[in-house]
Amino acid sequence: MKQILHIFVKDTRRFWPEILGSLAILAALVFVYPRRFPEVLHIPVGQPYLNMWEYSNLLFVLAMVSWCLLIARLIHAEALVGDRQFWLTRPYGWRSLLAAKLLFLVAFLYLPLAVMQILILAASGLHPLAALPGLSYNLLLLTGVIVLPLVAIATVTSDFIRMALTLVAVLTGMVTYIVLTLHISLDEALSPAHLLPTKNQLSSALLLGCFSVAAILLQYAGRRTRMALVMLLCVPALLMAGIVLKPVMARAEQGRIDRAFPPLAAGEAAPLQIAIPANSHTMVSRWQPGSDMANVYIRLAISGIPENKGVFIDAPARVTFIAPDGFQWSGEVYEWSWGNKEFASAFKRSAIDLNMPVSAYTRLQAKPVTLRFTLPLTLLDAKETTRIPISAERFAIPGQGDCQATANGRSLIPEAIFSCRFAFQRPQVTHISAEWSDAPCPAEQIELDYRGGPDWMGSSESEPAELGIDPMKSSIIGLGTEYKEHLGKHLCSGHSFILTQYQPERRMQATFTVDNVQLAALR
Amino acid sequence: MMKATIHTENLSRKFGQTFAVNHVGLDVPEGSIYALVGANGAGKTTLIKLLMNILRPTAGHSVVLASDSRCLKGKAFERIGYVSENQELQEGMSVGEMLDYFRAFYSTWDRDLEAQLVRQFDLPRGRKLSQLSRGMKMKAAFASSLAYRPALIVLDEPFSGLDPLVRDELIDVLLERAPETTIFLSSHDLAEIESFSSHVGFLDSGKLLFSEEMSVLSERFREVTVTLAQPSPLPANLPASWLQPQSADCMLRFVHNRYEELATAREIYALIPTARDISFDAMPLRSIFLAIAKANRGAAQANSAAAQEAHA
Repeated sequence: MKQILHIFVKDTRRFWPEILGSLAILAALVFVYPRRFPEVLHIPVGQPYLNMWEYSNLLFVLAMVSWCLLIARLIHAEALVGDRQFWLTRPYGWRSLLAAKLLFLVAFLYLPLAVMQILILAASGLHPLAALPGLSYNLLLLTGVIVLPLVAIATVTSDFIRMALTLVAVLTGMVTYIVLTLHISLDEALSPAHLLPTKNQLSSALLLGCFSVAAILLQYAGRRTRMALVMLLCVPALLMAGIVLKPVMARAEQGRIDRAFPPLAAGEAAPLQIAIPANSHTMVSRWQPGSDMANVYIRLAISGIPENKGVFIDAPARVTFIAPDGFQWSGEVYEWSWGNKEFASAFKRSAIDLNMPVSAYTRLQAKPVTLRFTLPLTLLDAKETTRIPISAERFAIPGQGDCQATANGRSLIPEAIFSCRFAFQRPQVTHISAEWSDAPCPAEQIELDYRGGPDWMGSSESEPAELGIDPMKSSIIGLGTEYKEHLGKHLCSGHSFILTQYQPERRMQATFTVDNVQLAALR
Repeated sequence: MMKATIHTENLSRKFGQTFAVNHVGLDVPEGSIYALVGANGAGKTTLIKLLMNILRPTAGHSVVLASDSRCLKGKAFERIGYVSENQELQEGMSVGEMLDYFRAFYSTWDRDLEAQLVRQFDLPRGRKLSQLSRGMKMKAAFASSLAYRPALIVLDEPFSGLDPLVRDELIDVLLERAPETTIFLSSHDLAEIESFSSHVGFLDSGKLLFSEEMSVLSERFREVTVTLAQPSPLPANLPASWLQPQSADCMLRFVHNRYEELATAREIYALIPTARDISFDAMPLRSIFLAIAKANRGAAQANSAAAQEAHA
């Protein structure tokens, strides 16, 4: 313990400028960040205010850079690569050395970060104590995804320049990987989600963290740089193996989906209906001029969801096109337009995008086709409902976050759009609606204008925190466009917003068939 | 037999296909001042780094202070003082801060000795190491490596690039510590170690050509001059102990590396019946090393040529 403290004190004395710089950035964040939300500061409508979004985002980037520098300087003070370091022939215990470095990180990285996040939450009107589980989970994610990999890279490099070059290489590799996966997924009409080892943050953090810890221990215990490098290279190798083994992974992923979303029993009704609006068109265009891939866009009308139920399409959906001559083409939905893949009992429109070879499309477009949709569905059950009178006042989503009707970040009535802030995670899946009026608002009430936007927030599979230094998650929530544009309803002052929380009830895979669809001509 | 503080057996280290240290076997007796000499690139620093467990051997093993050098770490270094010409120091620290910092690592740290060394070396405690001259840095490194009275002092080219005054100061301090420790140092300068080393080893292209006591070495090497009765060529099949034989007119010269006065004279008369007069001259260390190195390279070239011939 004595040696740990001795090394810790030495590092603290030596790196005080770096520590001070890092703390100054976090302190600036505590000051700047709450000013992203002028309503929190009670700045009246019409009064000018400084938009702090850019400044706070810049400070987050600077905080990351300062941590890279701090970690590099700290680890390289007793560098593990090279044969000229003074400490190699001094009676350092490797456990003490490693513990001293970890103590330093706890004191000058984790503690200030936690304090910064708590202060930001408090200044933004959220209760920090209620966010402690999220805070701890977020620190765990940051440890696995950012801190441990940075420490591991520092242990296999001899100085800051080499570490910076390695980080540039890592970033380049990540960009290449994303480009590569996108390219492959476009060619084969597959979602990049297939190629990721996992979509779960904790699993990713554990995977990265484990390889990083192995590399760190190899270096500190025995300065096995080659083995440590191999350990670190396992991560990109695994990702690349994911690309090479994509067909296998895609099958495995489909198997996982099939297991998680068992098909409906014979005769069992699906919890929703799909139709292609009569007055709607399919649209199609080439990805790029001359490309042999076409982007097919199909509008959908979703209905038939029972009262007090909701349906999410949480996993990749497939569409099969069947031509009258028996020719078939099947592909995965690339994107749900406007993010509309969450549905409540009310009627709703949505749209899907697919990527299809031009040759297949040309063949299918000749005559009306049959579309068969295979959708993995999560059925949700409505639980608690809260009614909040429409006003400019802030209101809380019970036990979760802090919202206000705003537009462009300013308090505003008569526009009904929410700006909501949550600590570390978006809330339990919640549907936002309102008391709609069939008739225009009476003279004594103001008719509220409102915009489109997602009418759901949260996720059916939420973790206690989302990865990031930013402790606040904010969402702009709308009320959809269906009521005003398609159903001709009205929203009046004095009415209420209706917030309904849902819980997952069951998962299933349902198949829907739509006959006689004439595809649009290729543009 | 005297206990060995350092013992190596077949110790080897390859970088790529090249042997930096090639099957070296040596013993450094306890209490000795062992000088490992050799030209630049001979493998001295690599050998020392293998002994200090900074590098791992490709083959063979070594024992340092009764421990396998591959296990040398942590507390084991409380008994070893290591100073290298190219060692990185904590440049951001002052001399005093460095000594204060290291003191906590050693249970045997002697504050009086530290004060004495600081005085002796005239070290400015408040000055940052980055602001010190090369000589002063080396003195600071010495002070921080001697103050805990290590059982073994390992010095890698400690005097390289230092002015004679600083060199003498360091040697004086080393000699003061010599009675209570074993000193193992490397150098490419024969003159600087000749005066105080008790043992010497000669490393050439990674190979240890010899390793023995300095006095024994001086005794067994002689420059031999043979005056002949008439000009005659070099006899065939000269003994391996005759290094660098040269003849001119009525004169034959060579270096004998197994010199014993009577036996050597008898050997010469037996091989060269026309020998009229023989003189034996003691050799300075530098000449001994040159003779060994040249003989070794000559033998290596001959082997290489023979191998090529056989291959052809």
